[in-house]
Amino acid sequence: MSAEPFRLPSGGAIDRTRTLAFTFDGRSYTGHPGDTLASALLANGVRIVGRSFKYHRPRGVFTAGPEEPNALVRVGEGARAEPNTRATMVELYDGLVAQSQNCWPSLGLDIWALNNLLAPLFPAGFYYKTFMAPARAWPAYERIIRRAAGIGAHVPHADPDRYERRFAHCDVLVVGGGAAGIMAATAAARAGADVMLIDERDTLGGHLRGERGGAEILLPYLRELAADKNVRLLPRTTAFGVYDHGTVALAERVTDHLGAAATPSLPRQRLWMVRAREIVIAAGAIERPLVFAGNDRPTVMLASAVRTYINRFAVLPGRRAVVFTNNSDAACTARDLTAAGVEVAAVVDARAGQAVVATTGRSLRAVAISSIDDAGRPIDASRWIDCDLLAVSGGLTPSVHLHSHTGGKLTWEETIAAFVPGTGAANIRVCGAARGVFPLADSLSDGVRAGGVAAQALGLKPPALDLPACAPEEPWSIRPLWEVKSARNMRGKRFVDLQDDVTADDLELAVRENYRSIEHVKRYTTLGMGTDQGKTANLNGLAIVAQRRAETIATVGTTTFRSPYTPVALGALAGPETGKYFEPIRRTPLHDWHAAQGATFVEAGQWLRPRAYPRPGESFNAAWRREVLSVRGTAGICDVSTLGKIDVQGPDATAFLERVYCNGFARLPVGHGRYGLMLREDGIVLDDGTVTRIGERQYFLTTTTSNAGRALAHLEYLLQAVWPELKVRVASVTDQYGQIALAGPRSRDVLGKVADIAVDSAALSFLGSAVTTIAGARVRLLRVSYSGELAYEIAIPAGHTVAVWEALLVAGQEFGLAPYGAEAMAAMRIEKGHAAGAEINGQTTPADLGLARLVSTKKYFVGRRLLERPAMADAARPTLIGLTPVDGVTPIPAGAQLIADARAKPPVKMLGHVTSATFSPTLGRPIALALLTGGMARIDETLVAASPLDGVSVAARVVHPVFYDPAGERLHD
Amino acid sequence: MIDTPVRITARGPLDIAQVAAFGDPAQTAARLSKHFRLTITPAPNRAIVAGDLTVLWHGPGQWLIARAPAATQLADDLAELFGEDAAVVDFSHARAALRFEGDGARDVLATGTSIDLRPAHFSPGACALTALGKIDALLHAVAPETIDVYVARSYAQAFVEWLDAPVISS
Amino acid sequence: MLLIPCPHCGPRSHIEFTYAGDATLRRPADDAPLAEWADYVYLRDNPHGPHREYWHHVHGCRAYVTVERDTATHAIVTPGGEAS
Repeated sequence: MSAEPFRLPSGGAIDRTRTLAFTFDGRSYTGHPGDTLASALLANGVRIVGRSFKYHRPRGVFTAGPEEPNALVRVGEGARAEPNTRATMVELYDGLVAQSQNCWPSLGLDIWALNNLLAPLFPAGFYYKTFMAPARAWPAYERIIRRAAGIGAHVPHADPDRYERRFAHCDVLVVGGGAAGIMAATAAARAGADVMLIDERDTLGGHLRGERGGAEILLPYLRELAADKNVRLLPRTTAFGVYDHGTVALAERVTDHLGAAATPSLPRQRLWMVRAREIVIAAGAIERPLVFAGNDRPTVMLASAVRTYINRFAVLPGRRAVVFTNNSDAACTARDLTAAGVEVAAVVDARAGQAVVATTGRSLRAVAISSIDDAGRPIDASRWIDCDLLAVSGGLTPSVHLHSHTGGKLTWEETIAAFVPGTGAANIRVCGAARGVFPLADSLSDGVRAGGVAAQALGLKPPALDLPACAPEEPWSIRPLWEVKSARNMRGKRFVDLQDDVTADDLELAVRENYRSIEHVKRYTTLGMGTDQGKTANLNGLAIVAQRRAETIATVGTTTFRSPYTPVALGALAGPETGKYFEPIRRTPLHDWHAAQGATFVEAGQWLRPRAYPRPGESFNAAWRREVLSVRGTAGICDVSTLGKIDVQGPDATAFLERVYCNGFARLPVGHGRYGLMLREDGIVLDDGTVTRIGERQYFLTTTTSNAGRALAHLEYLLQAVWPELKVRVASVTDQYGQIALAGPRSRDVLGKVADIAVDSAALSFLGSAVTTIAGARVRLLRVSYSGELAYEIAIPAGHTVAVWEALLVAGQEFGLAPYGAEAMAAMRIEKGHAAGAEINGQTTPADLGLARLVSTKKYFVGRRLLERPAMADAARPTLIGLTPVDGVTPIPAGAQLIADARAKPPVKMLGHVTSATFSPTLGRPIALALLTGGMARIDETLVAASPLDGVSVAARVVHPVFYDPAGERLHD
Repeated sequence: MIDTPVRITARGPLDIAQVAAFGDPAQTAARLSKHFRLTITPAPNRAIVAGDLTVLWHGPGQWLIARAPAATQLADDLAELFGEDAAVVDFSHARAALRFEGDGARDVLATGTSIDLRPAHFSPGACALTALGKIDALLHAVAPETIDVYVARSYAQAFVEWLDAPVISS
Repeated sequence: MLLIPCPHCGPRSHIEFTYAGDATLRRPADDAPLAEWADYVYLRDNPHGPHREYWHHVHGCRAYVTVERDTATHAIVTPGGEAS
């Protein structure tokens, strides 16, 4: 058997000097550069390439383009395998490996083809009707149905490829590099516009590339465009969606066609988000088939595809052909077949009242032809004609998808029996076959018109453009023939949607069951729901529905067109921001120091914070517990650089802060700080932090790490939208300063050794602030404590943080100073009953957190009025309490619900929940904080902390939330 | 990730400060102009370079000023100049600056920001506040094929990782 | 992507912004009745059509930008009526 038995000896846009080797289902074949996988398979005589979705009928290549419903194969191996790939769009490369799908054990012998015999059990919507009783058997049925559903199998590996995203701007974006698109781009480019011209195929030229003579007449314009530096040509690029305000999303296949020869540094695909001032859609039209019995047999093909395989790929899809058409576009099919040496056994023209009414053969062997009446019913005895190829054409359907994405309307055009774009967005212009202009000469001039109008809309002047000469064409005509009814004695499924195995009878069933909206018919029958979105099916389908309902097609309308136009890889949509790049990692100035010390890190928003510093052989728990004891016993340092820091300046700075915080700041002296509580407008606590007055009109604010952005946005909103008359400026200085907390009874001793000012209690009192120099850096001190020990926070210009940190370590060595991480810090603040994120949870007021004393009664502040609502002071509100396990040893899980009785039957009254929990190294037992209805009024009561999902239930006693040093003696001296 | 040539250099060290007007930005601009002997306007998206000094628009009535380190701190100089008439904030440690040079500079940045970086639309003297990926950035067109990028210090390493390209240290 | 006309930076993609709600709210006086305050904080109109609203240019100049957006068509104009 010679290689490529169906390859023509000459012609085609393939490179015969090079041979490419590929496999399909394990068998080796050859092809050439310029082939698609589909053309190469046809050249090798492979007629059956897959099994259909529901009935597992053998199917062959149907089209030559992106609308392919049948030839869905798995291309590639291992992690690069891609299921459901249209063989018509795969550019052949050396070493390509492809597999058929949806068959077992093999394509030739598929057990699931039993479905075809059982077809009466599987009408549209079958799973609402069959396999329903007995109900307990349904799970078994469902498992089998799920296994059978779908076509390809997913690839259970991480995607190893790289994807890029690119933003671009242009004056005119032309979608479609065929006749109309090239002329539109040329007109706009000659007018001086910045143009992007994209096409989904590897080479521009559009449908002409599949016709005799190819796209020759367009070559001079293409050369001009390629040489114009204001024109960007993007082949292998699909515009898959049009969005608001001139946004078009493009998917560019950068290396898919290269296989193993792809340069590793290039991304596999690139997603372009283009902002275009004017959009020209020259997306062409898609040929639709005819609906008749047995119309899905392998080597029944669209007529334009037959011509394309002959002219562009030099492939014979068969040796003896019949052409079945209802329009003038298919006329040249017979001519091209004959010129290629194919015997044309018959041309069956519905315009002359003839139709194919049945087919036979596992792969096509013969067709039955009959005369039909106006309703598509066979009216005489049919005669059989032997053939191995049937070229069908039911008309051309303009591609209106992109026009429709932004709500463009459609109108029914009787002369072509299809929908064309109606009104739409002002900056989107459709031209050529995409708006129903089919004759080549008209399409070319329509492209020039559209490009010129787009340029004019931008204030440019399009110069005159000479059109290429075209051969005269047969005038356009069509006889709408939406279905050929079954002939008597010639049963056979009449497919409307090949990919989803939807037949004309399924549509009739839906109409009979009174599904009125075409959207419901679609979902009920799955018409148009495959990966091809019904590109070759939808119009036939809705026309059949219209006929059954005796309505006009325009009344039935279309289903909504949604992006993407063709499938887009999730990797392309995700772009480079996956895995560790999903969010940028934010690092403190001390990050490398922590890493070198072997610190365990924890994510806090985008930040990485050290959680603990385990010593060699030390467990995580041992480490942080040691750190707590070290801080409370002597001293420790903690990196708190992640806190939000905000500079507030201006003549009205004090007045502003008075309104922002619920506690008073009007009399805060320069050189002093204060804890500040910021509320939302509804009286709920937004954030807590410190406010240090560093000048008459200048303040340094800190916020919690996670609320830094929210707090800054809140301040900006107040200054811009609410009180624009205030002369205040705010700026985030989070990155300007590293921040170190130095805490513990010996912290003052350590500080005294490194600072160049006095730091005794008289010089630096509680909440006092001062500027000094440490390790040559000018730093600001605030004597404030989060841990409950004597402590200081040191703000350092970021670049000097490491030097200051190391200076503190050296100075603190004699006292046993050690670094402590976020875990130890959290344990200590829980020991002190200090509210943090789990308590400041968007539902709590200051009083709920035990901070009612901070709420000023003398001034207006944000949140004041709604804080005065009676419900905000209701005694039943959950308020902050402490919990300790009754048995003294069992940990109380954070998130556990508080209930009265562990044995209560649901529904159980929930009294509150545990917000924070830890083991207290200081007290030697587990402790927790919780919000409990009734709060401190229930002190000494025993409750149950229950976590049913974990099967945990702990008896706990209500105690004061400040477990350690409740009088705060250790803060002062 | 970069298929056209681009050279990325870390700029620095730089002394940086932000100046924000309280009232009429024109007055603050005039004072800055007099001090630096340059024409500084409140017009948005404009940058001016003179020797080792760069003044960039940084928001309504706000400028970011970058300079090679000198004997005195830039923020101190400006605080003394303005007293209470403008908000001066020290940014000397808050930013990392990278210079992108070459044919591919605009293409690389176009993978991260949706602003129009075409040479005719982002030409020397233009600056813009935007984001590259998820990292806020200030872009400055210094020359036709040279764009400076300023990012917050804490994002600097993440930014270099996002670029996935070699960066020459200063 | 929506194009938001920032009066300072120029038209920018909406991904640079955070949506910040109704821009026509009038803040009640500090001592206004509780019901007025509750309306200000909780009640919003939900118009089908033009809506004057704030977009916070967080990944840009950080200005709170006011636009008028048609909630049905997403057409956006500046409050002065210029289309984006």
